[in-house]
Amino acid sequence: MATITLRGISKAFPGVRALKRIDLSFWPGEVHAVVGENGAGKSTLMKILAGDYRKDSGEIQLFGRVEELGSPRGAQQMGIGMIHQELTLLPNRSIAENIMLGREPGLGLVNRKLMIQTARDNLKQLGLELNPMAMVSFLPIAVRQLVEIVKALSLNAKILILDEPTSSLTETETRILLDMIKTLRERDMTLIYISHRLEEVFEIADRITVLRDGQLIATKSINETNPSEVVKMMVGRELGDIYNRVATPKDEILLEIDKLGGKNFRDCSLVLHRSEILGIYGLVGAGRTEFARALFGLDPVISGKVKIEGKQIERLSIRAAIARGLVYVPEDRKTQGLFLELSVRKNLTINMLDSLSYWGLLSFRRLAEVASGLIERLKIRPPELFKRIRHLSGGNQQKVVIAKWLSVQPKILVLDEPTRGIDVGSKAEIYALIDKLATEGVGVIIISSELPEILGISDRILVMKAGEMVGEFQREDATQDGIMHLAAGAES
Amino acid sequence: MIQRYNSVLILIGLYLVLAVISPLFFRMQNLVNIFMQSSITAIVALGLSLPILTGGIDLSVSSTAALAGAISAGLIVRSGWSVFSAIGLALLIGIGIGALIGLLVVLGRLPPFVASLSLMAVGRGLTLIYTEGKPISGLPAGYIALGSGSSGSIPNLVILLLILTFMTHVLLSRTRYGHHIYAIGGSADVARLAGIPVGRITISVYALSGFAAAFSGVLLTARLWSAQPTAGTGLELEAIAAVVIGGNSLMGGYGNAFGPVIGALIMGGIGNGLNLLKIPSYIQQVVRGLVLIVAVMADFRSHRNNAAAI
Repeated sequence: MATITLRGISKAFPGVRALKRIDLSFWPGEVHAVVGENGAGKSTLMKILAGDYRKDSGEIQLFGRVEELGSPRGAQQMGIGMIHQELTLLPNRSIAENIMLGREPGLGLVNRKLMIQTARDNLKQLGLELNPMAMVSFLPIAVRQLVEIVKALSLNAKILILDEPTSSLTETETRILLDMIKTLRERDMTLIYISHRLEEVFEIADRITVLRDGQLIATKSINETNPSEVVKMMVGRELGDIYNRVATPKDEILLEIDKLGGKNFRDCSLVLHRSEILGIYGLVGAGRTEFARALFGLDPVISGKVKIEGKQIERLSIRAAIARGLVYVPEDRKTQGLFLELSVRKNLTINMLDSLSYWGLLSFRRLAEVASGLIERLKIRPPELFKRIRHLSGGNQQKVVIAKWLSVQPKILVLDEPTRGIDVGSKAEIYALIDKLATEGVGVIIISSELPEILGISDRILVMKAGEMVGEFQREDATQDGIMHLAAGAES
Repeated sequence: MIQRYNSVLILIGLYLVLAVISPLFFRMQNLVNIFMQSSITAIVALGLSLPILTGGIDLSVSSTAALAGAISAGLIVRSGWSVFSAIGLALLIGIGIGALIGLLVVLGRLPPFVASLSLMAVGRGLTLIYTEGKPISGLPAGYIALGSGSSGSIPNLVILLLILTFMTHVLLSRTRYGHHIYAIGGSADVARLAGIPVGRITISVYALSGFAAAFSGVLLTARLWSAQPTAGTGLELEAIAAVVIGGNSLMGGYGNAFGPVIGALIMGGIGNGLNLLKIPSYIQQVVRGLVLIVAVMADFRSHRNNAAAI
C-alpha cells in the first residue's frame, strides 16, 4: 500500500496557479526524487505535504486514509518529517535539547536524564556516536543534518522529505548523507528527495517525478530514463549544449596576482587574460571565497601583489578594485548581493546613482532608462521595473546581481558560485551571459564547486586545495577525475 | 556573548580595583548598600532577561516600576487599602502592562522595541496622572520593611533577590517552559515547528517582565519610604546593561539566570565606586551609557565570531 497518495492536488496563489491537479503516489522503501525548475511547483507541493500550505482542492491519503494535515505540527504527528534546506536546529542548544524540542520529558520540570538517554538511543539507532550534550553550534553542517534526520525519525516519521539536502555539503559529507538515505530506505521508509543535482538523483532515487509549471510531467522508474531526458522534461524543450562558448581569450593580460596570502589562503598566483573565462575549482573550505573576497578588498591581505592591466595596486580596497574595473559578485545573492525588499530598478542602479543624478538629485527618468536597458540586455523576467526582488526567481535574481555591476563597465568580473540553487534553464542563460561578456573583452573568474559547470564554461581551470593553488588545466586537458584528484587529495 | 565566567571575573576584578582605590569600599555598610541598590536593578533585569532570551526587549520596565510603586502607595495612603491587597493589585497591573506588550508583539505584530517604548510613555504618563506629579509618602511599617528591613542580619531585599534568582534559574534550566523560551530565541520558526506555543510564551515572558518590574517598583518605594512620580528613570538602561554584562545575548537564545544578577552587581559596583570617588551624578549617567555601549559591542562581537566559527 502506498504511504501517500495524492489525488488532484491544486493550489493557487494570487495571480499564479502553482499546482494543477497533481496525482502521485509514494511507496514504502522507495527514494522518490522530485525535480523541476525553480517555480515548477515542487516546493509548493512539499510544503503542502509538510502542512505548511493548505491545498485548494484534491485529497491526500496517508496509508489509505484521507487526512487533513492542517499544520506542520499535524503533518509531523501523522509521520511526515521534513528536512528543510535551511537547517532548523537551535545552534546554542545541545543535541539532546534539539532532538527532544517541544517533547521534553517530565511534567513541567524537565527530566534531563531521560531526555539525554532518549536522545542517545535515537542517535544510536542510526549508528551515530555523538555526545547528546554537545552544543549544535560546534558540529559541522553535515553532522547537523544527520541530527536533523534523527530528530525527524524520533518523531516516528514514516515519510521523510529532504529539500536540497546536499546543497551545502562537501563531497565526502554528501556520501555520508546518501548512505544514510540508503539505510533508511532499507527500513521501508518513504524518502522524498528534492535536488537540483541530477547525478545524485540518479545515484540514489528509485523513481523520479518531474514537475513543470505546476503540472506533473511524468513519473518514471529510474531505470527507464536518463539525465538528458529528465532535463528535457524539466525545461520542456531540447536544451542544446548549455555551455555554448564563443569567446576566445586574447593575449593581453588583465590581471596578475603574485603570491597573494590572507586568511585561509596563501601563495595564490594567477594570470587572467582579456576575454578569458578562468575557473577556480575547490571543495568547500578550500579558501576560494576567502581568496576572492581579499582580492576585492573585503578581507585583509597579508602578503602578495596584484596588478591590474600592468599597474600594481598599492592597497586592495573595494574602492580601488571598482575604480580599476574589478568587481566581485558574492556567492550568497540573498544576503550579500541584493536588497530583497527593494525594486528591480533600485537594485540595478544602486552602483551608479552618482552618474544618474543632477545637482545631487536623482533623475527618475534616467534611472528607468538605465534599468530598462539592463533588463532587456540580460533578459530579466518579468521585465518589470518596480517588482520587488524577493518575488523574482533565483535565476533572475542572479541576473540582477550581475547586471548591477555591468553598470560600472567592469574589466574583470569575479563570480562566486553564480548558479547555486538556480534551475537548468536559468543556468544556461547565465552561462550565455558570461560568454557574451567575455566576447566583449571582460576577463571572468568563476568560482564553483560544480565540476560539470567548471569544465563546461572555463578556458582554463585552477584547482584550489587547503588554501593553495595546486594545479592548472587547459580546457582541452581537463577531466573530472583529474581535477577531483587534485582537489580532494591523493584518492578521489 | 560575554562568556559565562567572564562576567564573574569582571565582577571580582572591579570590586578589587574599587577596594584599592577607596578604603571605604570593603566596609560592611558599603557592601550592604551596593547589594541593596543592585537588588532592585537585578530583579528588573531577571524579569527583563526573559523577553531578551526570546530575542525581544522590554523598555517599559522603568515606568511600570514607577506606576506600581505609586499605585500601591496611593491605594494604601489615600484609599486605606491593606498593604497586601495594594501590592497585589500593583503587581497585577505590572503583569497586565507586560501582557499588553506581549499582545501587541504577537497579535499586533509590533516590534518589541516599539510596543514597549509606547507603553513606557503610557506608564510614565499614568504615574504622573495618578500621583499628580507629587510624591506619595506616609507608608506603613509593614510596607517599608519589604525594602528597608532585614531578617536576621540579611536585608529583605537580598533575600527576595536570592529567592527570585533561584526561581528564575529553575524556570530556565529545568522546566519545559524555560527550554521553550530558549528555543524561541534561537528561532521562532523552529520552535513553532516543534509544536511550541510561541505566541502564548511570548506574551507570558513580557507579563513576567512586567511582574518583575512592578515588584521592583514596590521594593524601590519601600526603600525610599515614598512613591516618587519619577522613580525608576533610567532603570531600563541599567537593567539592559546588567543583562548584557552578565553574559546573556541581546540577540536571544543564549544566557542564564545568574548573568543578570552578576551584571546588576557590576553596574551597582560601578555606581558605588563613582560615588566614592565623588564623581558628580551627571557624569555617572555618561559612564552608564558608555558601559552599555561597551557591553553590547562585546556581545555582538563574540556573537559574530561565533557565527564565523560555524
